[in-house]
Amino acid sequence: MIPSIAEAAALIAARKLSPVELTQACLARIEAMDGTLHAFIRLEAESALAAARAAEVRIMASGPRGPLDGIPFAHKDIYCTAGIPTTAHSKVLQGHVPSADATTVAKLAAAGVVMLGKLATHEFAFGGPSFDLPWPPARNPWNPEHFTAGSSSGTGAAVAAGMILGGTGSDTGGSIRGPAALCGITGIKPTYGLCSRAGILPLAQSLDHAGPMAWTVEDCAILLQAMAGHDAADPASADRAVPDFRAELGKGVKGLRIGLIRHFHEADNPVSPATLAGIDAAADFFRAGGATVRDVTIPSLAAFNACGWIILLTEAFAVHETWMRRDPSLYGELMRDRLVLGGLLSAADYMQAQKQRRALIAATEAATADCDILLTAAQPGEAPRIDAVPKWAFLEKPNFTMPFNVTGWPGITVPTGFGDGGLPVAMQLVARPFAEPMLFRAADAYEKAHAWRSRRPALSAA
Amino acid sequence: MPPTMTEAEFEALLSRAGLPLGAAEKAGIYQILGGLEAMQALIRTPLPEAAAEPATTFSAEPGR
Repeated sequence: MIPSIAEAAALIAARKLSPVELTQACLARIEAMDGTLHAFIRLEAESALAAARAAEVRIMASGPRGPLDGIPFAHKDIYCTAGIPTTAHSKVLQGHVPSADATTVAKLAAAGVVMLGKLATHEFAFGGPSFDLPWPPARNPWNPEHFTAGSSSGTGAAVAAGMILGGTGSDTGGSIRGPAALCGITGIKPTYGLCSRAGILPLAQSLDHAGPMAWTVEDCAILLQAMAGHDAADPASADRAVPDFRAELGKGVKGLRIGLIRHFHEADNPVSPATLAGIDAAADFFRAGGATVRDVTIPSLAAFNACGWIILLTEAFAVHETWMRRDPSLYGELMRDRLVLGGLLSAADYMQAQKQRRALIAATEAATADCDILLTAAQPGEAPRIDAVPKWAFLEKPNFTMPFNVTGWPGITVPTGFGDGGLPVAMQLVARPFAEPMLFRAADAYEKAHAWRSRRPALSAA
Repeated sequence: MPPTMTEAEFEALLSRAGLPLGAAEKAGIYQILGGLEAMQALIRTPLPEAAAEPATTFSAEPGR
């Protein structure tokens, strides 16, 4: 059995589970499965075992530092790790060894996580799935012929397969929530500014969010507790007290006011029958628990996506323009060709998109003023085959996650079952800025009332 | 969706951006520019009112 973080923490605190044995079990799963899944691009087994032994000594002597002490963990390879290569899964940064940890890496280390290594990502959190990079793309543990979504692809695969109990992701247009949905785990994109991005390689700074991915909602709350907090090194960091993210767990959904953004997933980009059934069943669950659920109409997915992608492409090109002008062949085809689009846009395009962003946020606030939680899809359906992902998917259909990068509101992905292909489907819950405790409350109530967390990919049970 | 910009206009934008691309790469990207143009049109439809201007990146007031 693969425990959740909360379960493992309780056993470790009671001295019924050894962090060393837990780490060894994760390393054994990595050994058995990662030749197929390619979730890791760098394994740090020796240092992980040393950290686990140190945690065990510490815990035996004086108890755990907290619920993350001795928990096997890994970082997306855009999170800088002192003395350990951080490549963004790209030839451009092969051999890049940071001298300092990202703020969130340091905070998680202080909480006691055992860092097993660095995880696959789409190149610079944007270009993927790519087969022309120094490392192969991660594959979906529910069916390795299928896509994980991206860009936090390795984190999604590794958590689902039980190689780690939690990991970091980043989300600029859905890169936490997409892989969480397609890999059947939970991932939260917190409010913009809640987690420091200092030391995380940027994609598009005004849309970039750092956040955790894990098997359960409660585990994400535990991880976010360690990651959140003001950091003067991140200009966008919110300078406010960090609440207790588990404070509202177990309080049920009675009294919550839920807005169903039906037009997103029924009209703007119609989802699969299984995804729709999951969302409708979740709405019924919330109603039955005493919440009110009503349809809300906000600007279209296309409007949010146009705004978000123009900003993303422009900011990303600004990050990469020196390398792109010098030698674009260093990038994989997907990353390179997508970055070119940013180079074609004008300053006026960027400014109009920023003005639209203001207008979209104002319209969303007005239409949802009497809602605590918003409900819609996270992905259109199950994961497609990895060799059938369109290169220009983001130009073809609007995604469900970009709207909340544009607004900066927190969003969480929660599994709602399985589709006809046997792969996970999910919903997305969204809250108003800095209302993560309420978001966790609603997501946890749904999760605990359903049996989806009892099923792991068959591969991880082999 | 075919682009409205001509190949010559596309070449000019690439030159302005300083991007040295091969012929095959240019051809592949040119084909999908209609999707980008649709987004450029959407961010101007409707044009946001003046109150939406994003003067959020600079303030003379200390601490902001």
